[in-house]
Amino acid sequence: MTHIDHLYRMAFHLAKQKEEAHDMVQETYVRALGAYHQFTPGTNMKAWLTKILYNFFFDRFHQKKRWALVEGKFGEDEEEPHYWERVPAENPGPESQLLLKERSAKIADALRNIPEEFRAPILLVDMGDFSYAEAAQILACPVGTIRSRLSRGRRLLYRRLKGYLDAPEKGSTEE
Amino acid sequence: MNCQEAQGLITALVDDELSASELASIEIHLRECVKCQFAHRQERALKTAVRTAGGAVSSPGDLREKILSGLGRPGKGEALNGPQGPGWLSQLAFRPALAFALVLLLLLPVVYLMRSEPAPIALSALESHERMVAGSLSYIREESPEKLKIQLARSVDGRFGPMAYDLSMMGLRPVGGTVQEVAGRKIIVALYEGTAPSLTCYTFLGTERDVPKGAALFADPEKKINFYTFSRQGVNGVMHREGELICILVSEMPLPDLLALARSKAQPS
Repeated sequence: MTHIDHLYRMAFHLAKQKEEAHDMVQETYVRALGAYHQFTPGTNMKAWLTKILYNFFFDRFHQKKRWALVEGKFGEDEEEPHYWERVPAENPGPESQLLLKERSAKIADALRNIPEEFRAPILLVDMGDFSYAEAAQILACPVGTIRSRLSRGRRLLYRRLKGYLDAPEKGSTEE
Repeated sequence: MNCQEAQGLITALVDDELSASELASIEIHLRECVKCQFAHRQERALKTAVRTAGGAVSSPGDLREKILSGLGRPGKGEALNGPQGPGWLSQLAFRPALAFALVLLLLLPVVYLMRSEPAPIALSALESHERMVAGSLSYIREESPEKLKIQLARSVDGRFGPMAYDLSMMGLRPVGGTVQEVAGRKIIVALYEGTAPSLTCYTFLGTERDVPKGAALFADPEKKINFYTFSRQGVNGVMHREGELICILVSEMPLPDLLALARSKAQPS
């Protein structure tokens, strides 16, 4: 089914519960059905479906907040002073499936704990492989907003994962 | 430029979204600022980690079944989710028109693909490779991979970009590129030169219907990607798909080597 994994992935990281993610994806396809005549063959169906999914998400689960009133909310006080000073992790090399699973769960958890305004661009650009322009179109905001929120969002995410991404990988299972 | 200003540019650098002037500015700053070099590597690592985490999530089989069946009604005693409940589910089961539309939506991409004949882009790639290597086909010379990538993506209005593979392990580096149009479709061509036989990488929006007739299929079980190989007069091509993008590597290097190279670089979509 066209782009179902991508849609579910977006929904999974946006919704608070798995069931909500199911509903979001189902509703996306139903809404797409109703508007399929508006889709122009040859254009980006993935972006079109994602926009439908986001619209539903904001309408249903996000109600009043949209893109308004968040600028400045996570401003200088949220700045991570050591962000620029931390030595990056070395490439950990091949990871076991177990470590990958653990890391994925940790990242998913961290993502859920950053505000949606910053999470959405990260999901679209980093997981969905959308360009800034496409992400801006999906989220109905300027391209500059995508860029600034990605920057802030990644710093917020980094704070949540601080010590985890930087920790050297351990191949052994001593614990 | 100070580190604060560099911060915003580093984000866009990680995402390949910088303009040429921004790229030049940040490159100068990064050359001199160890802190920002660290930040750049760190943000890139974070992006990779998020991307990998995303790949670990796929849609459950029962969800697919529900949507495909067009029913999706909960079983007896099973509660609908959310405060308002997705009432459309039960409606859908009793609305044949909606169910029909669902089928139509699912078939839409297929219908679109079937309505046009596959363009002979692969064969055209073999031809233009020879002309590019011989120097009889003009192209933009640009040795900075980042700048080349930006320029080529701009030539197709940013709708997609070149695959931009790092082939340095083969002793090849990008030296230039161009955008060709075959049967009304734009194709980004990047030329790699170095110590190995020259290679051209063709990237365009397409499907596996773009595979030329007679191509041999190699299904990579690990990456779950199909690779198609074809040759003509000593020039070999390997085609594969990454999402909506088709990539064709063309070179005079032995076909097994070219296939191995494509397999090592291809990323599952």
